[in-house]
Amino acid sequence: MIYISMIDSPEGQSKFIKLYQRYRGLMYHVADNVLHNHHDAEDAVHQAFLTIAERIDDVDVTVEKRTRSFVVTVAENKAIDLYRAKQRRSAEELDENMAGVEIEYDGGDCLARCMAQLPPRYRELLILKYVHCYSFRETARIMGISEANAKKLAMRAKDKLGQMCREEGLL
Amino acid sequence: MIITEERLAMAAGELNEAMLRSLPEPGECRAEFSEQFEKKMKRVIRRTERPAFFRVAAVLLAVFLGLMALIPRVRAGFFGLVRRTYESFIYYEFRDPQAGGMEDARYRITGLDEEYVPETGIHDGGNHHEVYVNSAGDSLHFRYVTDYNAHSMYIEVAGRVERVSIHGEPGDVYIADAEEESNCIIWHVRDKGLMFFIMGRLDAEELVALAESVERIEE
Repeated sequence: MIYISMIDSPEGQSKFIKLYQRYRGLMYHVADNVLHNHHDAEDAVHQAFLTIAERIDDVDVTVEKRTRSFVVTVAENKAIDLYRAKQRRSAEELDENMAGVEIEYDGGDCLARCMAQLPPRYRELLILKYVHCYSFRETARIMGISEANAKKLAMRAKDKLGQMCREEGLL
Repeated sequence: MIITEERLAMAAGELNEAMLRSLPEPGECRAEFSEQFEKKMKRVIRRTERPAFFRVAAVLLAVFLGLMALIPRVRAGFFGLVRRTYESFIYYEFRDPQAGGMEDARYRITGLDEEYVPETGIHDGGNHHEVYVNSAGDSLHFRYVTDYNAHSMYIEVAGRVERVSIHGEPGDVYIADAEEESNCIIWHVRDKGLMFFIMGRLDAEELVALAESVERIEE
Protein backbone atom coordinates (compact mmCIF):
# COMPACT_ATOMS: atom_id res chain seq x y z
CA MET A 1 0.00 0.00 0.00
CA ILE A 2 2.96 2.29 0.64
CA TYR A 3 4.09 1.75 -2.95
CA ILE A 4 0.67 2.81 -4.25
CA SER A 5 0.81 5.98 -2.15
CA MET A 6 4.10 6.92 -3.78
CA ILE A 7 2.50 6.75 -7.20
CA ASP A 8 -0.21 9.09 -6.02
CA SER A 9 2.24 11.65 -4.63
CA PRO A 10 2.96 14.90 -6.57
CA GLU A 11 6.44 13.63 -7.35
CA GLY A 12 4.99 10.58 -9.01
CA GLN A 13 2.38 12.46 -11.03
CA SER A 14 2.38 11.42 -14.63
CA LYS A 15 3.14 13.56 -17.63
CA PHE A 16 -0.47 13.25 -18.68
CA ILE A 17 -1.88 14.57 -15.42
CA LYS A 18 0.48 17.56 -15.54
CA LEU A 19 -0.55 18.22 -19.11
CA TYR A 20 -4.22 17.88 -18.23
CA GLN A 21 -4.00 20.26 -15.28
CA ARG A 22 -1.99 22.86 -17.16
CA TYR A 23 -3.78 22.97 -20.50
CA ARG A 24 -7.38 21.93 -20.01
CA GLY A 25 -8.51 25.53 -19.52
CA LEU A 26 -6.75 26.68 -22.69
CA MET A 27 -8.12 23.74 -24.67
CA TYR A 28 -11.61 24.53 -23.43
CA HIS A 29 -11.11 28.18 -24.51
CA VAL A 30 -10.18 27.03 -28.03
CA ALA A 31 -13.04 24.52 -28.28
CA ASP A 32 -15.60 26.98 -26.94
CA ASN A 33 -14.53 29.58 -29.51
CA VAL A 34 -15.42 27.09 -32.24
CA LEU A 35 -18.52 25.52 -30.74
CA HIS A 36 -20.01 28.28 -28.53
CA ASN A 37 -21.59 25.62 -26.36
CA HIS A 38 -20.29 24.57 -22.93
CA HIS A 39 -21.34 20.92 -23.14
CA ASP A 40 -19.99 20.50 -26.68
CA ALA A 41 -16.75 22.23 -25.78
CA GLU A 42 -16.31 19.79 -22.88
CA ASP A 43 -16.92 16.88 -25.27
CA ALA A 44 -14.33 18.24 -27.66
CA VAL A 45 -11.78 18.67 -24.86
CA HIS A 46 -12.44 15.11 -23.69
CA GLN A 47 -11.92 13.80 -27.24
CA ALA A 48 -8.76 15.86 -27.52
CA PHE A 49 -7.34 14.34 -24.35
CA LEU A 50 -8.15 10.85 -25.61
CA THR A 51 -6.07 11.63 -28.70
CA ILE A 52 -3.27 13.16 -26.66
CA ALA A 53 -3.22 10.14 -24.35
CA GLU A 54 -2.48 7.93 -27.37
CA ARG A 55 0.51 10.05 -28.25
CA ILE A 56 1.66 10.93 -24.74
CA ASP A 57 5.07 9.32 -25.28
CA ASP A 58 5.75 11.84 -28.07
CA VAL A 59 5.01 14.83 -25.84
CA ASP A 60 7.89 16.53 -24.08
CA VAL A 61 6.19 18.69 -21.47
CA THR A 62 9.46 20.50 -20.77
CA VAL A 63 9.26 22.14 -24.21
CA GLU A 64 6.32 24.34 -23.30
CA LYS A 65 5.65 26.09 -26.62
CA ARG A 66 5.71 22.87 -28.56
CA THR A 67 3.35 21.17 -26.10
CA ARG A 68 1.02 24.15 -26.10
CA SER A 69 0.94 24.18 -29.90
CA PHE A 70 0.14 20.48 -29.99
CA VAL A 71 -2.70 20.55 -27.45
CA VAL A 72 -4.26 23.64 -29.04
CA THR A 73 -4.11 22.10 -32.51
CA VAL A 74 -5.70 18.87 -31.31
CA ALA A 75 -8.39 20.72 -29.34
CA GLU A 76 -9.29 22.88 -32.35
CA ASN A 77 -9.38 19.80 -34.56
CA LYS A 78 -11.74 17.90 -32.26
CA ALA A 79 -13.98 20.95 -31.84
CA ILE A 80 -14.29 21.29 -35.60
CA ASP A 81 -14.97 17.55 -35.94
CA LEU A 82 -17.80 17.86 -33.45
CA TYR A 83 -19.17 20.90 -35.23
CA ARG A 84 -19.11 19.05 -38.56
CA ALA A 85 -20.85 16.04 -37.04
CA LYS A 86 -23.62 18.25 -35.72
CA GLN A 87 -24.01 20.31 -38.87
CA ARG A 88 -24.16 17.40 -41.31
CA ARG A 89 -22.94 19.59 -44.13
CA SER A 90 -20.41 18.43 -46.70
CA ALA A 91 -16.91 18.09 -45.32
CA GLU A 92 -15.34 20.16 -48.07
CA GLU A 93 -17.86 22.97 -47.66
CA LEU A 94 -17.15 23.12 -43.95
CA ASP A 95 -13.40 22.86 -44.43
CA GLU A 96 -13.56 26.07 -46.44
CA ASN A 97 -15.91 28.02 -44.21
CA MET A 98 -15.20 26.96 -40.62
CA ALA A 99 -13.69 29.49 -38.25
CA GLY A 100 -11.17 28.27 -35.72
CA VAL A 101 -8.52 30.05 -33.65
CA GLU A 102 -8.21 33.62 -34.91
CA ILE A 103 -4.59 34.20 -35.76
CA GLU A 104 -3.13 37.66 -36.14
CA TYR A 105 0.10 37.55 -38.11
CA ASP A 106 2.01 40.79 -38.50
CA GLY A 107 5.41 39.35 -39.38
CA GLY A 108 7.33 39.66 -42.62
CA ASP A 109 6.80 36.15 -43.98
CA CYS A 110 4.23 36.47 -46.80
CA LEU A 111 3.62 32.75 -46.99
CA ALA A 112 2.98 32.62 -43.24
CA ARG A 113 0.54 35.52 -43.65
CA CYS A 114 -1.37 33.52 -46.28
CA MET A 115 -1.27 30.41 -44.07
CA ALA A 116 -2.86 32.39 -41.24
CA GLN A 117 -5.84 33.00 -43.49
CA LEU A 118 -6.29 29.35 -44.41
CA PRO A 119 -9.31 27.45 -43.05
CA PRO A 120 -8.40 25.87 -39.70
CA ARG A 121 -8.27 22.22 -40.86
CA TYR A 122 -5.63 23.07 -43.46
CA ARG A 123 -3.67 24.97 -40.82
CA GLU A 124 -3.90 22.07 -38.35
CA LEU A 125 -2.51 19.66 -40.90
CA LEU A 126 0.34 21.98 -41.84
CA ILE A 127 1.25 22.55 -38.18
CA LEU A 128 1.14 18.84 -37.31
CA LYS A 129 3.14 17.95 -40.42
CA TYR A 130 5.71 20.73 -40.57
CA VAL A 131 6.05 21.98 -36.99
CA HIS A 132 5.53 18.72 -35.08
CA CYS A 133 7.02 16.62 -37.89
CA TYR A 134 4.37 13.93 -37.83
CA SER A 135 4.12 11.69 -40.88
CA PHE A 136 0.93 11.75 -42.96
CA ARG A 137 -0.08 8.53 -41.27
CA GLU A 138 0.41 9.94 -37.76
CA THR A 139 -1.19 13.27 -38.71
CA ALA A 140 -4.19 11.40 -40.09
CA ARG A 141 -4.53 9.43 -36.89
CA ILE A 142 -4.43 12.57 -34.75
CA MET A 143 -6.98 14.31 -36.97
CA GLY A 144 -9.21 11.24 -37.09
CA ILE A 145 -9.09 10.88 -40.85
CA SER A 146 -7.61 8.36 -43.25
CA GLU A 147 -4.08 8.75 -44.52
CA ALA A 148 -5.47 9.22 -48.03
CA ASN A 149 -7.69 12.07 -46.84
CA ALA A 150 -4.78 13.66 -44.98
CA LYS A 151 -2.77 13.71 -48.21
CA LYS A 152 -5.77 15.12 -50.10
CA LEU A 153 -6.17 17.82 -47.45
CA ALA A 154 -2.47 18.68 -47.76
CA MET A 155 -2.82 19.00 -51.53
CA ARG A 156 -5.87 21.25 -51.16
CA ALA A 157 -4.00 23.36 -48.59
CA LYS A 158 -1.06 23.81 -50.96
CA ASP A 159 -3.38 24.61 -53.89
CA LYS A 160 -5.18 27.17 -51.76
CA LEU A 161 -1.87 28.67 -50.64
CA GLY A 162 -0.70 28.83 -54.26
CA GLN A 163 -3.91 30.64 -55.23
CA MET A 164 -3.56 33.12 -52.35
CA CYS A 165 0.08 33.79 -53.20
CA ARG A 166 -0.82 34.44 -56.86
CA GLU A 167 -3.54 36.89 -55.80
CA GLU A 168 -1.00 38.71 -53.64
CA GLY A 169 1.43 38.81 -56.53
CA LEU A 170 3.91 36.54 -54.74
CA LEU A 171 3.93 33.87 -57.44
CA MET B 1 8.38 32.03 -55.78
CA ILE B 2 8.13 28.26 -55.73
CA ILE B 3 6.58 26.82 -52.57
CA THR B 4 9.11 24.18 -51.54
CA GLU B 5 8.75 21.86 -48.57
CA GLU B 6 11.43 23.84 -46.73
CA ARG B 7 9.58 27.07 -47.41
CA LEU B 8 6.37 25.53 -46.12
CA ALA B 9 8.11 24.35 -42.96
CA MET B 10 9.52 27.84 -42.29
CA ALA B 11 6.16 29.49 -42.82
CA ALA B 12 4.40 26.87 -40.68
CA GLY B 13 6.86 27.67 -37.87
CA GLU B 14 6.03 31.39 -38.14
CA LEU B 15 2.33 30.58 -38.23
CA ASN B 16 2.68 28.42 -35.13
CA GLU B 17 4.35 31.28 -33.22
CA ALA B 18 1.60 33.66 -34.31
CA MET B 19 -1.06 31.17 -33.21
CA LEU B 20 0.46 30.90 -29.74
CA ARG B 21 0.70 34.70 -29.46
CA SER B 22 -2.99 34.98 -30.40
CA LEU B 23 -4.05 32.79 -27.52
CA PRO B 24 -4.15 33.53 -23.79
CA GLU B 25 -1.60 31.96 -21.47
CA PRO B 26 -2.72 28.58 -20.07
CA GLY B 27 -2.75 30.05 -16.55
CA GLU B 28 -5.18 32.77 -17.65
CA CYS B 29 -7.80 30.28 -18.81
CA ARG B 30 -10.19 29.37 -16.03
CA ALA B 31 -12.99 26.99 -16.91
CA GLU B 32 -15.66 25.40 -14.75
CA PHE B 33 -16.04 21.79 -15.79
CA SER B 34 -19.10 19.68 -15.12
CA GLU B 35 -19.09 16.65 -12.84
CA GLN B 36 -19.74 14.43 -15.86
CA PHE B 37 -16.63 15.78 -17.61
CA GLU B 38 -14.50 15.27 -14.49
CA LYS B 39 -15.72 11.66 -14.21
CA LYS B 40 -14.91 10.96 -17.88
CA MET B 41 -11.46 12.48 -17.46
CA LYS B 42 -10.79 10.42 -14.33
CA ARG B 43 -11.30 7.32 -16.48
CA VAL B 44 -8.91 8.62 -19.13
CA ILE B 45 -6.30 9.47 -16.50
CA ARG B 46 -6.69 6.07 -14.88
CA ARG B 47 -6.09 4.40 -18.24
CA THR B 48 -2.90 6.36 -18.80
CA GLU B 49 -1.76 5.46 -15.28
CA ARG B 50 -2.64 1.80 -15.81
CA PRO B 51 0.78 0.39 -16.79
CA ALA B 52 2.31 1.46 -13.45
CA PHE B 53 -0.78 0.56 -11.45
CA PHE B 54 -1.03 -2.84 -13.09
CA ARG B 55 2.58 -3.62 -12.24
CA VAL B 56 1.99 -2.62 -8.64
CA ALA B 57 -1.25 -4.56 -8.41
CA ALA B 58 0.45 -7.61 -9.93
CA VAL B 59 3.23 -7.41 -7.35
CA LEU B 60 0.81 -7.03 -4.47
CA LEU B 61 -1.40 -9.81 -5.79
CA ALA B 62 1.58 -12.13 -6.18
CA VAL B 63 2.67 -11.36 -2.62
CA PHE B 64 -0.86 -11.79 -1.31
CA LEU B 65 -1.43 -15.10 -3.08
CA GLY B 66 1.97 -16.29 -1.99
CA LEU B 67 1.10 -15.59 1.63
CA MET B 68 -2.26 -17.26 1.23
CA ALA B 69 -0.61 -20.39 -0.15
CA LEU B 70 1.49 -20.61 3.02
CA ILE B 71 -1.49 -20.35 5.35
CA PRO B 72 -4.00 -23.06 4.31
CA ARG B 73 -6.43 -22.44 7.15
CA VAL B 74 -6.59 -18.71 6.46
CA ARG B 75 -7.04 -19.38 2.77
CA ALA B 76 -9.93 -21.78 3.29
CA GLY B 77 -11.64 -19.27 5.58
CA PHE B 78 -11.10 -16.32 3.25
CA PHE B 79 -11.74 -18.13 0.00
CA GLY B 80 -15.23 -19.45 0.63
CA LEU B 81 -15.56 -18.08 -2.90
CA VAL B 82 -13.26 -19.99 -5.23
CA ARG B 83 -11.86 -18.17 -8.22
CA ARG B 84 -10.31 -20.07 -11.11
CA THR B 85 -8.67 -18.25 -13.99
CA TYR B 86 -8.85 -19.63 -17.49
CA GLU B 87 -7.50 -18.17 -20.71
CA SER B 88 -10.39 -15.89 -21.58
CA PHE B 89 -12.65 -16.04 -18.56
CA ILE B 90 -12.69 -16.28 -14.79
CA TYR B 91 -14.88 -18.79 -13.02
CA TYR B 92 -16.29 -18.06 -9.57
CA GLU B 93 -17.79 -20.71 -7.36
CA PHE B 94 -18.92 -20.45 -3.76
CA ARG B 95 -17.98 -23.47 -1.69
CA ASP B 96 -19.09 -23.79 1.88
CA PRO B 97 -19.71 -27.31 3.19
CA GLN B 98 -21.77 -25.90 6.04
CA ALA B 99 -24.06 -23.80 3.88
CA GLY B 100 -27.22 -25.24 2.43
CA GLY B 101 -30.64 -24.34 1.14
CA MET B 102 -31.78 -21.10 -0.37
CA GLU B 103 -32.40 -17.69 1.06
CA ASP B 104 -35.84 -16.56 0.05
CA ALA B 105 -34.98 -12.90 -0.43
CA ARG B 106 -34.65 -10.22 -3.08
CA TYR B 107 -32.08 -7.48 -3.21
CA ARG B 108 -31.91 -4.08 -4.85
CA ILE B 109 -29.31 -1.42 -5.60
CA THR B 110 -30.51 1.53 -3.55
CA GLY B 111 -27.79 3.84 -4.90
CA LEU B 112 -28.74 3.40 -8.55
CA ASP B 113 -29.15 6.69 -10.40
CA GLU B 114 -32.84 7.32 -11.10
CA GLU B 115 -32.13 7.74 -14.80
CA TYR B 116 -31.71 3.94 -14.92
CA VAL B 117 -35.10 2.28 -15.39
CA PRO B 118 -35.83 -1.47 -15.18
CA GLU B 119 -35.88 -3.25 -18.53
CA THR B 120 -36.04 -6.96 -17.68
CA GLY B 121 -35.95 -9.11 -14.58
CA ILE B 122 -35.51 -12.86 -14.27
CA HIS B 123 -35.93 -14.54 -10.91
CA ASP B 124 -35.43 -18.29 -11.28
CA GLY B 125 -35.08 -20.08 -7.98
CA GLY B 126 -31.95 -18.70 -6.39
CA ASN B 127 -30.69 -17.00 -9.54
CA HIS B 128 -31.66 -13.38 -10.12
CA HIS B 129 -30.83 -11.19 -13.09
CA GLU B 130 -32.11 -7.63 -13.52
CA VAL B 131 -31.28 -5.28 -16.38
CA TYR B 132 -31.64 -1.50 -16.19
CA VAL B 133 -31.26 1.01 -19.01
CA ASN B 134 -30.66 4.77 -18.98
CA SER B 135 -31.66 7.44 -21.49
CA ALA B 136 -28.31 7.12 -23.26
CA GLY B 137 -29.02 3.45 -23.94
CA ASP B 138 -26.40 2.22 -21.46
CA SER B 139 -27.46 -0.98 -19.75
CA LEU B 140 -26.64 -2.04 -16.23
CA HIS B 141 -26.81 -5.70 -15.15
CA PHE B 142 -27.44 -6.74 -11.57
CA ARG B 143 -27.12 -10.45 -10.84
CA TYR B 144 -27.15 -12.24 -7.56
CA VAL B 145 -27.32 -15.81 -6.37
CA THR B 146 -29.15 -16.75 -3.19
CA ASP B 147 -29.16 -20.52 -3.65
CA TYR B 148 -26.21 -21.86 -1.71
CA ASN B 149 -26.12 -24.85 -4.03
CA ALA B 150 -26.09 -22.86 -7.28
CA HIS B 151 -23.14 -20.56 -6.87
CA SER B 152 -21.12 -20.10 -9.99
CA MET B 153 -20.49 -17.31 -12.46
CA TYR B 154 -18.32 -16.89 -15.50
CA ILE B 155 -16.80 -13.54 -16.32
CA GLU B 156 -15.14 -12.89 -19.66
CA VAL B 157 -12.15 -10.72 -19.08
CA ALA B 158 -10.20 -8.36 -21.34
CA GLY B 159 -8.73 -5.96 -18.83
CA ARG B 160 -7.32 -5.63 -15.36
CA VAL B 161 -8.66 -6.60 -11.95
CA GLU B 162 -8.74 -4.56 -8.73
CA ARG B 163 -9.36 -6.17 -5.36
CA VAL B 164 -11.89 -4.22 -3.34
CA SER B 165 -13.84 -4.53 -0.12
CA ILE B 166 -17.60 -4.18 0.09
CA HIS B 167 -18.56 -3.61 3.73
CA GLY B 168 -15.61 -5.77 4.72
CA GLU B 169 -16.38 -8.53 2.20
CA PRO B 170 -13.84 -9.30 -0.54
CA GLY B 171 -14.67 -8.43 -4.10
CA ASP B 172 -13.10 -8.05 -7.54
CA VAL B 173 -13.58 -5.15 -9.94
CA TYR B 174 -12.77 -5.84 -13.58
CA ILE B 175 -11.81 -2.80 -15.66
CA ALA B 176 -12.00 -3.40 -19.41
CA ASP B 177 -9.15 -2.38 -21.68
CA ALA B 178 -11.43 -0.50 -24.04
CA GLU B 179 -13.11 2.57 -22.63
CA GLU B 180 -16.35 1.85 -24.43
CA GLU B 181 -16.65 -1.59 -22.83
CA SER B 182 -18.53 -2.26 -19.60
CA ASN B 183 -16.74 -2.89 -16.33
CA CYS B 184 -18.00 -5.17 -13.58
CA ILE B 185 -17.77 -6.00 -9.92
CA ILE B 186 -18.32 -9.34 -8.19
CA TRP B 187 -18.38 -9.91 -4.44
CA HIS B 188 -19.85 -12.27 -1.92
CA VAL B 189 -21.33 -12.08 1.56
CA ARG B 190 -19.62 -14.89 3.40
CA ASP B 191 -21.90 -15.51 6.35
CA LYS B 192 -24.99 -15.55 4.13
CA GLY B 193 -23.43 -17.36 1.18
CA LEU B 194 -24.63 -14.74 -1.30
CA MET B 195 -22.85 -13.78 -4.51
CA PHE B 196 -23.47 -10.47 -6.31
CA PHE B 197 -22.47 -9.10 -9.68
CA ILE B 198 -22.96 -5.66 -11.25
CA MET B 199 -21.88 -4.75 -14.77
CA GLY B 200 -22.18 -1.40 -16.55
CA ARG B 201 -20.38 1.52 -18.16
CA LEU B 202 -19.12 2.77 -14.83
CA ASP B 203 -15.71 3.19 -13.29
CA ALA B 204 -14.39 1.22 -10.32
CA GLU B 205 -15.40 3.86 -7.79
CA GLU B 206 -18.96 3.98 -9.09
CA LEU B 207 -19.22 0.19 -9.12
CA VAL B 208 -18.01 -0.04 -5.53
CA ALA B 209 -20.50 2.65 -4.48
CA LEU B 210 -23.35 0.75 -6.13
CA ALA B 211 -22.21 -2.51 -4.54
CA GLU B 212 -22.15 -0.89 -1.13
CA SER B 213 -25.69 0.36 -1.64
CA VAL B 214 -27.16 -3.12 -2.28
CA GLU B 215 -29.80 -3.92 0.35
CA ARG B 216 -32.20 -6.73 1.00
CA ILE B 217 -35.81 -5.90 0.14
CA GLU B 218 -37.87 -6.35 3.26
CA GLU B 219 -41.29 -7.80 2.39
